[in-house]
Amino acid sequence: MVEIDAQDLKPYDLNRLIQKYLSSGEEVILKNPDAKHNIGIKLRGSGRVIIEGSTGYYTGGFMDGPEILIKGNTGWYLGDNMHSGRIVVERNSGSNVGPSMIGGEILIKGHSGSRIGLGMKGGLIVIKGKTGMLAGKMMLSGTIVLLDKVGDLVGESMYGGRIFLFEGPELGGNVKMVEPSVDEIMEIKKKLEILGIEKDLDGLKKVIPAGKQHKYVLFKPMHMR
Amino acid sequence: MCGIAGLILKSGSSNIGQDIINMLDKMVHRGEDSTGFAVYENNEVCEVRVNCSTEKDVETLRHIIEQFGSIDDERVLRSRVGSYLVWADVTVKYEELPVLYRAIDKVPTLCVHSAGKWLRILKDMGSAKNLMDHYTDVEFDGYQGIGHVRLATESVENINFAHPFSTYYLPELAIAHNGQLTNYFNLRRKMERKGVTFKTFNDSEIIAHYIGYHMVEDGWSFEETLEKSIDEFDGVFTYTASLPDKIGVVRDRLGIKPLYIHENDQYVLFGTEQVCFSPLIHESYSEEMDPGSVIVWSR
Repeated sequence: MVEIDAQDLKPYDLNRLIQKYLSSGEEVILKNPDAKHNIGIKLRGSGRVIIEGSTGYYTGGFMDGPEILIKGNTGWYLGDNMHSGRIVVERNSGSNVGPSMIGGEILIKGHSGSRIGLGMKGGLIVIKGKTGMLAGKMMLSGTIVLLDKVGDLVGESMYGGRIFLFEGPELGGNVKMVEPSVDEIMEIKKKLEILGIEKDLDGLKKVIPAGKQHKYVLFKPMHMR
Repeated sequence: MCGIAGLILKSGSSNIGQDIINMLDKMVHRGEDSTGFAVYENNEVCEVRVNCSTEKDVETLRHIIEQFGSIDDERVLRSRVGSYLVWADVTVKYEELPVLYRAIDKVPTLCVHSAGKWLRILKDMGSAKNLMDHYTDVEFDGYQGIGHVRLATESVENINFAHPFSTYYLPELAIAHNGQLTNYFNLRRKMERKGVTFKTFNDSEIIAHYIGYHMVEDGWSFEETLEKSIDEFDGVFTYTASLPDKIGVVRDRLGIKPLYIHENDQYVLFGTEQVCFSPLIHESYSEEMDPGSVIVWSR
């Protein structure tokens, strides 16, 4: 285990240092993050980074493999384009969690802002507290699990993927709410157990695309007709 | 981009201007075209702060003020762009302050930055650090204040287009805004038909006039005006507005522009990014403001 004091380090140098220790098999404890932006960008391999405080925007962006535990808050765009690994936030997150994420898992134990999983392509996002509006907007694939109150326009224009939530919020356009299968409930229950979350899933619903996306007509050039 | 910040002390006062500048310095990446802040303090004296393009304009300003009262003390500073910032302690009838404000602003080469007993505004081109380096002997004691870093997108880079903005309708009001008001020109024409005059083409200026106009002419409360602005303004916006006894924050319904709030026993902090709290509090647990909401703190 190694401790890094982030106080006077610029994000580029800090991330290089974290990567160096992770690559040598060390668990990294980060002190004094002071809500700095761009912490943990493009970390790869395996290992664990424990951040003792809050981080700013873009934490864990493009990450591929490691686990980040943030003991405070985090800002906008957590796990932007993340490939694999896990990010756990013990307090609140800002808006736009996991935009365009491809894989991996994000767990927010507090509340989250709007537009989580925007354009998400894969992976899992779990929000234990309240979630803002437009969750899963234009998502393509992956799974979102929302365990508390959720803002309106859920799943607006989603193309694929699944959003599990309890009834209440207004749905976005081109989506529908259906009953999840027994297998899906078991899958979510297992996943929550792994993440250490206890929650009664009675009444859980699933939001999926309504399948009414615009069908584009591809015009053939004249000579190909 | 752009960034806003605010600090409200729950008791006493301190060099709050320096605190706000330090907060703004942490958000320099959100814009360094201009930086400014407004501080409120319990002053006995009314101060008028005007940006004069040339030295001759300083004389013009003195002449205008003397038509309303007298100048008791005066300080002339050079801005970072070479213009003359006149900070004049004046003796005028307090109720005539809006008329004086408007008379000064009618001169194209003069621009009032602030006028009031409580309110003091400093704004200039460049980053927070540029301001700190330039205005080395200026102290801004106060009990509350707001600040702004600007990335000019909708209008020119100019010292008078920097935030915070004030208004002759309600000279003790200051606003700072992050966002774009997409119905600015329609709203401006509507307000101009009612007799409101504008000094700049910065869409944010309209927020100050909107609040001032409706509070003075229509008798709306501060809270009511901020609530109604969410319906009236179109676009993406988060703004803060301040009076001597209140500070409010407003966020549009889509919540595209962020705002974080941290409150403890000693003070309230708010800002576009949590990182701006770090000069004052080592580790803060802030909440993101809900979209489409208004929060007002009163003294």
